[in-house]
Amino acid sequence: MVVNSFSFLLFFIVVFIGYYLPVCKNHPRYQNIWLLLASYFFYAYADLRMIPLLLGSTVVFWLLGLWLHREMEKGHMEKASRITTLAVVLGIGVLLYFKYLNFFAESFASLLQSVGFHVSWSTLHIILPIGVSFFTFKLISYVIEIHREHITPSRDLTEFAAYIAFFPTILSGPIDRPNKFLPQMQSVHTLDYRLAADGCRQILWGMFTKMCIADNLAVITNQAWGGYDTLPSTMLVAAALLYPIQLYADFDGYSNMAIGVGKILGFQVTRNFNRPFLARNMAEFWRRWHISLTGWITDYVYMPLNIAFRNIGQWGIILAAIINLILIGLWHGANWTFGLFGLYHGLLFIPLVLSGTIGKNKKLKANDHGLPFLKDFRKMVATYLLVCLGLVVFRADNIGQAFGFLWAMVTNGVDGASIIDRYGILYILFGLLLLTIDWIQRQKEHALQLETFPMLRNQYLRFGLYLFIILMIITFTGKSQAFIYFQF
Amino acid sequence: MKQFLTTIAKFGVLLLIMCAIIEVALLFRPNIYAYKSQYMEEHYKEIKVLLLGSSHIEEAVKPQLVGEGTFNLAISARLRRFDVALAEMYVPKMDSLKALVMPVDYTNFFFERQYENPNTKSVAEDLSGTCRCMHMKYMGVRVDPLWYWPEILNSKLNFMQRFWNGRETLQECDSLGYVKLDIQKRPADWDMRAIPALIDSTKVIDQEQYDKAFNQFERVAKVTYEKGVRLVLVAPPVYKTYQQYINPVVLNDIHMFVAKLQAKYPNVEYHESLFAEGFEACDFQDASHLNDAGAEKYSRMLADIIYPHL
Repeated sequence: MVVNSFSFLLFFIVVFIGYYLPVCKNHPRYQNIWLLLASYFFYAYADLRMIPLLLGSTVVFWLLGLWLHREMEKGHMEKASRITTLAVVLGIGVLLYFKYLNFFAESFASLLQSVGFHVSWSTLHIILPIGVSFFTFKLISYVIEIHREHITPSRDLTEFAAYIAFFPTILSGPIDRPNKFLPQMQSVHTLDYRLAADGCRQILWGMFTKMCIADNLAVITNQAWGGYDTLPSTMLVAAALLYPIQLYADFDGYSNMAIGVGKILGFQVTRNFNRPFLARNMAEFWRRWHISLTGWITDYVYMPLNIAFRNIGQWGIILAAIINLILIGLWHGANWTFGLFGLYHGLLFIPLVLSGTIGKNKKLKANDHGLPFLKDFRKMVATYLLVCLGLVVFRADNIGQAFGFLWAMVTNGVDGASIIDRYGILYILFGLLLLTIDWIQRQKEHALQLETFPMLRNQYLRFGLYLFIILMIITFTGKSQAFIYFQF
Repeated sequence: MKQFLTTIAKFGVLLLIMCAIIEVALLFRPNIYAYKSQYMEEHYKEIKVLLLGSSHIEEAVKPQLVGEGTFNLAISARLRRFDVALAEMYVPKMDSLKALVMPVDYTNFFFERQYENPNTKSVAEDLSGTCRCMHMKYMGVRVDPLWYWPEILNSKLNFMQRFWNGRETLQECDSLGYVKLDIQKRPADWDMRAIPALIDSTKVIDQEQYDKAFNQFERVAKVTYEKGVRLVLVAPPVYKTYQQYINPVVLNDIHMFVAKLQAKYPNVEYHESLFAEGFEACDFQDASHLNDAGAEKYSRMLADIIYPHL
């Protein structure tokens, strides 16, 4: 049941009615119970077999949180550290088992074979639980935040379980942090008209970017990666330039829909993207791209590493950044392509650290014509091209295909079949429109926050605009593609 | 809450009005279902050979090469139950009809024995919705008498693009119902497209599904038998990448299925061309669809089967 489906609409109407029923609306506990039931139903609909894993890990981490807090109150800090370590190991262990065990086993076996040892073991048939990377990170951060005394543990299992399984975000994030989200679960939610209306607009914009841009561009990029050995270089370069827009439209589209649904239920879900292609260097790009993941890894991995490596000066920062980005890469899945993608981005941080520009982030300003300054624009284009190159590796099925694609981009020549027809050109224009709107609305959370446009103060004019977007969606909706980040 | 619901209601009404306008406007745009239905209404008395089925027939048989009075009523992605409904609707009143051609499609024959594949499931649901909607609206086949299925809920139809595409593009087929596939538009990985799902031949055939399928063929066999018409069951050629997926156990089950039908209705013939010789890579658009060159060869082959006995 994907968020942009008819079945989700029906499901959400039922959830909405139950959530705001008079019996629920004055009792956060009742609302949380209802939310929990809805979330488990939603997750079971996606994969019933993984309910025990979700439930079991939720209960275990909730108990660990209580135990940790009790030991901290008693002043047993060493024991508290051990409990936190246990929780982190457990969380990482779940991820390693479900996501990486076969990958490491296969890699180890091929390594042994390459040095002359012949091993034969069969890999396990492990089913990857949908959303495991997202809810496991929530569980780990819960315990760490208790240990850091940023939060007190939740005494109410229902409330905690509803936070972990919160249905708009469980499958693909954003990864909400407990210090921001748990307090929201403890308060009564009455429908806030402005927030809910904004949520509806955000869902609409998410549907547009996902269904009209991402799903249509996917047709072009899938063909390019499927037949890169026979297609001309021009088509491959075009596909490489389009893939970042497709990925952004897909994942930002999903995030917008999730955040919008959250808003209708009265929650402020963490923002996941902040106009990433307006970034002027790689450090800024990562502050704007998949913010909830980058923020998580920065807080729990990069910062501690930075402290640990402080004795080696700038190279300590570089080392921490490289490890940080390799982990971000590998978080996406068990494939060397993701590791290489992370390493590539990590290496791009070296000049930033050495030149001292890693932390600088001047506010973007427009010139007299409302356009970006040329100096900024050049940097944005350069950053975009570097991102494109990295995503060629990210998109590939394996390292061989990644290098094959890059090689074909320069050696296949210009003659050959085109994968971009007249509709393809239209979809590319949609992609460019998305980037333009990103620039115009750069101060806003999403594209349809239009209160600064005086002509759209009339409700019916705004309705006209929304109907036009819906018309565009039903006109140009592409062949439905699974959300890319569901696989992670 | 009241303000929110009022706003949603106001917007919902406007949205419904917009959708209703699109839905009505679509009725006036040409499409392949409307064209074939209209042709049948105007020419059913003259048709001697009628072809039913899905894309494997629609794109594989050129009626003009099979013989005079042949019409290709097959439509891409059509489910068998709609073929049955059309046969029952038209055959009794087609006085010139000599042969009804219908496919025995390996891909979909023992659907329940295929390994579970959520993608296949969603495609099947999509096709089912499209078939139901278009057959009801344009071909008069009503499977849900009390329910209306709007076109705008069927994403596969690209319905809005029908407003600016030309009449020729919209009709899709030639005047006798044949849809031409151009080899120039063949994708790079064509030989791995449209291959059948893996079938678990050790799985026991679901008797309920089997009976349902048999009942569908039986209904067509009965209506043709009563009219003195040959029911020609065919399996068009497939490429070698498809052939390697064909499970001999399952194929044998299909042969037994057909033999059972033939035992009951002597007008039933079966002509299998899955492994037919003379079909090369250049004859295919993908692993199971012939292109224009392949359709020419197969149509002549079919003519040899059908026409001498007309």
